[in-house]
Amino acid sequence: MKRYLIIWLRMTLNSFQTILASRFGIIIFIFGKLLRFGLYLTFIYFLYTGTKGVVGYDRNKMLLFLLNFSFLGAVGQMLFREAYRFRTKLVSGEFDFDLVKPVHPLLKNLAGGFDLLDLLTMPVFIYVLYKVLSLINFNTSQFIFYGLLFMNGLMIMFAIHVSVLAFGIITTEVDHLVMVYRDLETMGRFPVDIYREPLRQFLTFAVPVGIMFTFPVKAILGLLSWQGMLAAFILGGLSCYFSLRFWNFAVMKYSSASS
Amino acid sequence: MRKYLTVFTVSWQNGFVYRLNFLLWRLRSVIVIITVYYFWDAVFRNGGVIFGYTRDKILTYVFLTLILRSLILGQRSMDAAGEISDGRLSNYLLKPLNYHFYWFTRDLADKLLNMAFSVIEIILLYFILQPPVFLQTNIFILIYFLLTVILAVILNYLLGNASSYFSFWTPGNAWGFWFLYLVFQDFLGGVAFPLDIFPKAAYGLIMLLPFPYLLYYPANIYLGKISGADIFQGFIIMLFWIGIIIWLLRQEWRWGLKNYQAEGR
Repeated sequence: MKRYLIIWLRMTLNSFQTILASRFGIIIFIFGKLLRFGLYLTFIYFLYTGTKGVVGYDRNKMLLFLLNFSFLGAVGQMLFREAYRFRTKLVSGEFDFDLVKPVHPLLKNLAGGFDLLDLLTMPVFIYVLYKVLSLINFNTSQFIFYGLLFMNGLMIMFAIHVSVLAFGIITTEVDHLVMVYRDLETMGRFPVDIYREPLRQFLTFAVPVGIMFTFPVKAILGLLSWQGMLAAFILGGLSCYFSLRFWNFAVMKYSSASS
Repeated sequence: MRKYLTVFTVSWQNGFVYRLNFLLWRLRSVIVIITVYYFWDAVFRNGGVIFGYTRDKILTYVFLTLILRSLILGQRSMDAAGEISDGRLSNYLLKPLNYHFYWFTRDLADKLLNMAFSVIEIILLYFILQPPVFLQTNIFILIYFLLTVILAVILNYLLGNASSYFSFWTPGNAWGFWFLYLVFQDFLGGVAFPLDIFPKAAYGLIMLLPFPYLLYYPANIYLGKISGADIFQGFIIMLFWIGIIIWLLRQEWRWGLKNYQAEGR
């Protein structure tokens, strides 16, 4: 475990150096990310000048859904950015070199490209999230469940990225699939209650955007039943287990055809 | 002209080579529309008029953006940034073709391909979502609408290329400028939400920028929300921006080529 941590830190340091080599790019991306974030907040603010509530949620609650989505999404992208570069390695045969090293190939191909840009935007997300949370009434247990479900969401995100990489090994198609996931993820920007059935059930349990993004906020608002929480944790555990099984299956099928 | 026709045909055929890629790309567009559609459906679940829109009009707006996105915003010319960054541009400079027309032709092929598929999506989504459709019957409004769509196609191509050509100076940040452009497209172009939810002063300022004329303006002409002198004013602003960006593109190209070092070749 200690060895893996040292390797991850080394890879993270390398990733920082690569990103810092293009300082102008950092400014553009951070400006773009914060602008997008700010425009969404502005949109929600002005939307509620014309309407009192959307599917029963007032302005602060809707902002909380949006902020939780932005924060969790940014944490996921920060940790798993390397997945977006996997296809190039597959089609060029570079992936062969990762397989012969005495480290699990997922470490490098999933977590080897820690994204400094997302880390730099994080303080803004955390500050605004803290401000909105201070406007909402909740108790300690609700906050603890929020934290646990947030981590559970991150686990599901890990499982989805592993599955995308595994699918990539079999089909060499990664880029668009990971972007399809990102688009599906954006459906969690607002509570899944806005979608009508059967799409709502699909987004809650099949994708499962609802469990990742809507459930933590519902927990802190005291709107989530214990059955819902139990289902979320079971699904989180199962998704990790099956994604790793799928990865092992895919690696066995890897033919190294392009190398 | 024949060589551009060949570029068009090759580009069209290219779309069918990576079929899974293309289908997943289309799926992404559908997901975006479904998200926006259901959000507004939820906002208007209790009926009423919000920001001057009824439920029928807002859902028509969202549905209309599905069609217009494929036609106006679908483009391949973002790859020009990569070609400049890694030196592939040199290959084109040696060929007897105009690089701007080359990408415009490729964009048109891409738009046609996207349109062909979006027709299927529209039919499918129509039966799944069963949106209330507002049919515009005024022939003059339909002509204005068609004209603004043509101008929006040109404007989007110019704005996209202006973003790509910044790669002459910062080759490593090609995608950065595009990312910024896409953020402007989404939020100030009317993809994420109609712009008239903003207060009047902010709305007035936004309407002076080129981005609202990509989707928001054509869609609202169709819906009949923009009429009279506002149509004329919109045309003037569109033509103004097209002129400005053509000038900017020429300067970028002229100075960019002087700066171009064919890095990577």
